[in-house]
Amino acid sequence: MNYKLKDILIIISISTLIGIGRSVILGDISIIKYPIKTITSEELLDNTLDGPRNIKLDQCKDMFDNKQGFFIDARDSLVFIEGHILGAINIHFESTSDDRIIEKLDGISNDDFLIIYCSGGDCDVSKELGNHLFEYLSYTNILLYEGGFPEWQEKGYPVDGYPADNE
Amino acid sequence: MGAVFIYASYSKILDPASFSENIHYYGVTSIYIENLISLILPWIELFIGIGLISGFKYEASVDLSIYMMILFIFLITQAYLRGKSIDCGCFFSDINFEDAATKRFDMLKRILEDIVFMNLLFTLKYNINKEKST
Repeated sequence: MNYKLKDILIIISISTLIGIGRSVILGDISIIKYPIKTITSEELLDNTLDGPRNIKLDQCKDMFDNKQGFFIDARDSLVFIEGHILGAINIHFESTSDDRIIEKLDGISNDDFLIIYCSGGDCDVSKELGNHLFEYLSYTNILLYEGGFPEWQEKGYPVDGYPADNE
Repeated sequence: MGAVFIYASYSKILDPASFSENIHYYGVTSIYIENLISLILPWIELFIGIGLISGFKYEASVDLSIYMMILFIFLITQAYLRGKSIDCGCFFSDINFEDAATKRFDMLKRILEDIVFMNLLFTLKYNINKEKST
């Protein structure tokens, strides 16, 4: 075997052993993440989810029309003011304490559906907020709307807010 | 270049979960592969860095770093061309610009930065070949 290729394989093998070995030895299974499943129509009728679920635009719209859940906007308040899904509650996870979160969710039961969104694409504040609500604040029915506000707005669905003047 | 690789590996080794998230947003592989890459790639970067500085497995480190740099340039470029606005996960993976335009500008900077790094690595490769031939 070409000695250079052999050396490359040695570097990759050692890295693999240490990288995986380290996570096994430390027992840090939080490193390993699993895909979040999309909620099924059956699960939408059953109010006991075992973890946050993704939700698609059409399911979101149905829930909006049927007032089946509460929309939570996880973006910061400045962006929220410019535009958000009609009726959404603004909770920016990084700048909101647990007490304040509970205060904002006053009147919402722990098993009500909470549909959390942010800016779509790669934004992950909705996921962080969803996990926090599920794991630490005992809200059991967390739905993550990955398309977020841009997709909702693009479809022309009901929004509220004061768009910034771009002129 | 060795220091750059060691620096790049540092935060990823400490926080593979965030790095895995970064890989996820490139949208090029399954979540299970993302987990594996996030555990292994930072250590490869670390060994390359050590190799480039210490001279241990030097030639292989130079070659591997060039392959990786080509891969990084390809991944960021394809994400950029597909209209994504992501944190590249190149160094500290917890950088999170809210503004999509800032992120896209940052992606362009990273592409240019990687091209510069790749040129430096090719210079190292050229020097190795030159020494061999003399």
